Amino acid sequence: MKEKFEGIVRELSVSPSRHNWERFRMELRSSSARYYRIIFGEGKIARQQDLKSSYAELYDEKESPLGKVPIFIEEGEGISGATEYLRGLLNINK
Amino acid sequence: MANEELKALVEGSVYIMREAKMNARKVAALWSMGKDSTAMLALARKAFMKKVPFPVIHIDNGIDFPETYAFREELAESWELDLIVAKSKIKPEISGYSCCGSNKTEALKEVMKEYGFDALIVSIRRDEHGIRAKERYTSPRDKDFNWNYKNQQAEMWDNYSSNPDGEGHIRVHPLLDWRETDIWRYTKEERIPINPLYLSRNGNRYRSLGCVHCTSPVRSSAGNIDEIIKELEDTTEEERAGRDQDKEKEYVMEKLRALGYM
Repeated sequence: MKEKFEGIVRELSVSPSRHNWERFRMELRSSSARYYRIIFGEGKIARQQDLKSSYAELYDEKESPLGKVPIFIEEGEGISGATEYLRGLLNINK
Repeated sequence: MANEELKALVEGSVYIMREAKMNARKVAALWSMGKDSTAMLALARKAFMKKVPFPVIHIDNGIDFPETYAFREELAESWELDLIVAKSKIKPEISGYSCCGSNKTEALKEVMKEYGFDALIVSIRRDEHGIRAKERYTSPRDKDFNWNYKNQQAEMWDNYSSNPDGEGHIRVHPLLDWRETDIWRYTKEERIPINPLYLSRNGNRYRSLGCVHCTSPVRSSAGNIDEIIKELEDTTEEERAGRDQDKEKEYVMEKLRALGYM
């Protein structure tokens, strides 16, 4: 189970397609992920590119990091936000 | 604050929403899942026999907090809201100003046009921001959503009958007189559900909620509404200090609102 979730997290980093995000959503519930933190490469997002370089760090119950996922969906030439797929997690507020 | 004062605020908001429902052809309300717009929906339920009688619009740019999406789904189901999710597109340039101004406002324009709404209930408060203090309870916008804040009609004797200009619409502001602490007191009194981001975790909490990239938490140990109210009574920090668009120069917010931002 853990390996499957880690595999999807890795795949999302390479290809944040809607298909992979749907797979992530399915696995998130049964994973040990409980918290998230959004990290921006350059601080505030000023361009679409900055959204691409931002990510969400996932944490388990003991607030140990589990991996990073992007926060966008790549669809054709456009991108859209993907934080809805992190639903069920709580902001770690750190 | 005395209960009588809160009661007067509630009665005023209920009156404004009933007037809007009666006078407008098609009303909708904006819902950000924040404390203010959720309190507004609770007031609408009070005004209209426990059922929000108009569609509720969420302008979704896809980068709201995960807790916000979860809260939206839970409350929309339990309050049986007629929820319209208007997806906004992320353009190549999305600075704080153009993200709110272009992405969100464009999505709002599209949904208003698609459904033909001529009145939009927005949960702004005068004490949030200087430019919002210039608003009236009902405020017309032209067809391009422009707001001429230098030319607004007087609202004497509780007469809120602003009419939209041609293809424009009316913004309705039932919470204009409320303060942040009033919202929290009403939320507590009516046991209105809240987004968990408002409560402290790891010494931080969100005081004002926007998208993940333009909203920062504030230092706080308030873990319940009583503690939030106590904290607000003592703070000298502005409510929207954690919001990017408000940190920019004052005219940015003025410009955003003049162009149709919420």
